[in-house]
Amino acid sequence: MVGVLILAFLIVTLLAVVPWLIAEYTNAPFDKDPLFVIDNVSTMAGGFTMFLFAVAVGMNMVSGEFESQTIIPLLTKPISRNLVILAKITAGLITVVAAYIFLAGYIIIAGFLIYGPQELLHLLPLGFSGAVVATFVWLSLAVFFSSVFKSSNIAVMGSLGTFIGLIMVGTVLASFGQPLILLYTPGDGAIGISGGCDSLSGMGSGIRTGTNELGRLLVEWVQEPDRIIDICGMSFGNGPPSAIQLSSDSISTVALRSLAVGLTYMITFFAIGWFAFRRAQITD
Amino acid sequence: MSDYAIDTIDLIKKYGSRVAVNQLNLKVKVGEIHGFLGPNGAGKSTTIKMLVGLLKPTSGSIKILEQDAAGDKPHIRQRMGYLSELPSYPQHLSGNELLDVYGRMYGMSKKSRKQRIPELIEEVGLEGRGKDRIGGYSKGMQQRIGLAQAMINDPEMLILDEPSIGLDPVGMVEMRKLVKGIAKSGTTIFFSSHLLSEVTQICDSITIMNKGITVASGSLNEVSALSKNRRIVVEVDKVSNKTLQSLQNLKLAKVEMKGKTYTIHLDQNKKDVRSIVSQAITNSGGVIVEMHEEGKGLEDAFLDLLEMKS
Repeated sequence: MVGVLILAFLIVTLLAVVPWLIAEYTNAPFDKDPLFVIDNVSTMAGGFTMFLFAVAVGMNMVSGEFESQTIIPLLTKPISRNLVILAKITAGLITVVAAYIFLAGYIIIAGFLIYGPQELLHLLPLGFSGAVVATFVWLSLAVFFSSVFKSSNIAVMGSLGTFIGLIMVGTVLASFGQPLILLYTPGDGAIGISGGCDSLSGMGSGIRTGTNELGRLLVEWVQEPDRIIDICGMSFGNGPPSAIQLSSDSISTVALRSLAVGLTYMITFFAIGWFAFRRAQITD
Repeated sequence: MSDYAIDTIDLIKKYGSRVAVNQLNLKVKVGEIHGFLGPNGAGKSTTIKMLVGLLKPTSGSIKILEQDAAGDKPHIRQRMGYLSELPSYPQHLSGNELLDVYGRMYGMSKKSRKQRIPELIEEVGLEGRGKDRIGGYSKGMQQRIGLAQAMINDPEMLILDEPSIGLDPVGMVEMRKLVKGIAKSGTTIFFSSHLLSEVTQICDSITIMNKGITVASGSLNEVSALSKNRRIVVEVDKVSNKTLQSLQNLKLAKVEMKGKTYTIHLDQNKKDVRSIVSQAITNSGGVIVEMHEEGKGLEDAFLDLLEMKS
């Protein structure tokens, strides 16, 4: 966990310092980003950081007790298995929130020092909450593997495999112009744009629609409630490939769908993990 | 009100097609120290795990302290303590911290934990080591802290699975003394062990299991008497056919003569026949130099029972 926190601090440092360093060395004008803090707090410096936090907390949440054999004294105390799993998930939530408070503090300090005055700071709690929920989607996956297979190694490999697999599948689907299914998977989701698919002029204001971006989507919803997000695909019919509109939703729909998808996966994975733990037979 | 602290009826545990425990009817009376014996793979640990809720029985019932105890029953565990075989505890905690965490799980107040923990630490012989990390404890010390955590709630019933494992001879003696002391306060103790001498010294009654079934159960004397090789060995000053004939007329299982020694096999005859044996020898003109009984101990009974039922 401490290692992941150090890595996250490193990632934030790079995100904050590298653009400034490039500007310094190329003598290009440094573009001060007033949204650096809200953007990075809402995603905790990116989906991979959230994934790492989730796996670090969830990988041995259940399996660790089995691997170290401490499950025997634990389950022979007068507390139900339901309470044990609930306590562990609550402890996971507290750990993630505590780590994110440290990280958010560092992002705020780095943002003000390097990028100057920041905007939308009143939306930080919303973005922060979105990032915690997004992390919990991955954490539920790690707990699922940890509880079902009772192995921390399988929990890490299974979670990492799912994370990488979703990125690869997402890239392939997006390349073949079929990104809509990504609206219903955990992770980065599909890329949505504002301004229509014809000219793809809105690419500059693109936003990812997945659970990883929940914090940012919620912030965007409050900030620009009338914004429309289009998901574009490619048509490979007669003639050269052309962009077509696959869906067009308001930012509220996109944000709520991302929240619903995240909660659905979270509840499903936690429920399976809970069920496996309840039925676990302690043989050795 | 039932006399039994543990009462299982036709308890069965299967792993696939393998039957680990088969129709076990275990009865442990309130307030007694009950030994649980059997060779490796007999089903002892599986039975204990079902008693403490770590395993769910395939069928049958378990009543502990008169309450249904099959499966996840925290309210039953509130009234009992359990020391597992080769226990493992969070290594980063100190002995005091471990007992504090477990005390909280039993709902003990801060005040009672503060009072109970130093008492227990002293009772199990860990005085001065309570603040040390468990990771730095020896095997024997881990066993001692295990016993302390099993007693933190002052339980009505204590289940000890091989409590002497890892203890040195002095530790074993202390453990036996401790267990006897706990039993004096009325706590029922269910005690699994490989050490027959230990069981003989502290248990009131025993159950012997083999291959998932109960082969014997009862008081120490009752089970010891089940030995099929009980025999009286008599050394006389001189042997004679008359004495041999007199002994054979007693119609005991079998009489052998070797040198100046008669061996009278009793098998499972529970009667005390020493007086009629000595009378038969004296009346036939023999003089007894020495007479003693062999094969009546728990060890003999244990080995015989395992052989008979296998």
